[in-house]
Amino acid sequence: MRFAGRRRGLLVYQLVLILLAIAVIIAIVIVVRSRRAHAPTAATTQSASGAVVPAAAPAMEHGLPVMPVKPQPKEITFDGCPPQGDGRDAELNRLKNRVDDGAWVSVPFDSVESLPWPSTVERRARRQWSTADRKAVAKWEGIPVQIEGYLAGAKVEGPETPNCHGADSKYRDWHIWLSSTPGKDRRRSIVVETTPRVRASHPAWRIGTLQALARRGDRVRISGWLMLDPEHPDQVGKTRGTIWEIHPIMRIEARRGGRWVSLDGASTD
Amino acid sequence: MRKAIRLQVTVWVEGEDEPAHDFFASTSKAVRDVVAAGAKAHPELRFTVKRVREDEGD
Repeated sequence: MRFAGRRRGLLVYQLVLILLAIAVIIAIVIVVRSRRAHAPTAATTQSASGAVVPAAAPAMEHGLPVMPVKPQPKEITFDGCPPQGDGRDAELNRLKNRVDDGAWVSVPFDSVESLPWPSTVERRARRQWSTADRKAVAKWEGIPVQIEGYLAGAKVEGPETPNCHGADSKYRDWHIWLSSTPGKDRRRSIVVETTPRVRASHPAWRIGTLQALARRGDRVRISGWLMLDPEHPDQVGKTRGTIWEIHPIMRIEARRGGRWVSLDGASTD
Repeated sequence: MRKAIRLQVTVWVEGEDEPAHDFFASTSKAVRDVVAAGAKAHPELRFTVKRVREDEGD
């Protein structure tokens, strides 16, 4: 009898110990999850569907995320025009002609507008760049960025090598100037461009809509791939503030009634 | 008085070509040929095409 009572007491004691251990483990898990959820992040990211997803808190430098490994561009042949276009800088054309969506990282306008580049790459095809210059540009090129600002203008560009010199307007880029303030001053703007092969998936995009956004001074949000175009350094300080571009643009949104509205028609906020 | 001038001329050239074929190479040669052929209409002038470059916009 006495022995049985002692044994029962030991069992109860062991059970209490196990329950306590489980309670401690649960408490630790709750605390860790709570801290992760409230940890400050340098940048938020948005998935292709527009939903804000938890960022992996990339290291930030110059206001931009440092991404040693970047998404590989997805390329297509568009109406017979290959990703490398019809001449000159095939490597540059391949970057301009990517069509993949990304997890857009919201970055300040100035972080791109004031981002430096090696002057020795200007007006030179990538195959002529030095290894050091390639490395310096590659640090930032190919980052999926999202920048807010105002449109300073938009126009249909002429026939170009990335688009195999297609004469029809549907084969031409749209040059759009993104500025940090409303107005037509392009001197400190960032050139952002839509390409024919991306527009094929966005039939609702209209050059007239972009020009109207510019006229009205509506706030816009542009998402796309950060890319260095070395062909227009002479325009810096005149019609652009930098040769860094968002090219191609993958998403265009406008602020309406306190919400971001996609030019494709669906609300994204 | 013998005179000379450098003229910058913007020419729009349009035609059929394979998408991936280098359109600049063929059209720049064509422009040189056109100038050479047209120069015969003005024997009093001597034409030299110094450079043909694509207008890359801004």
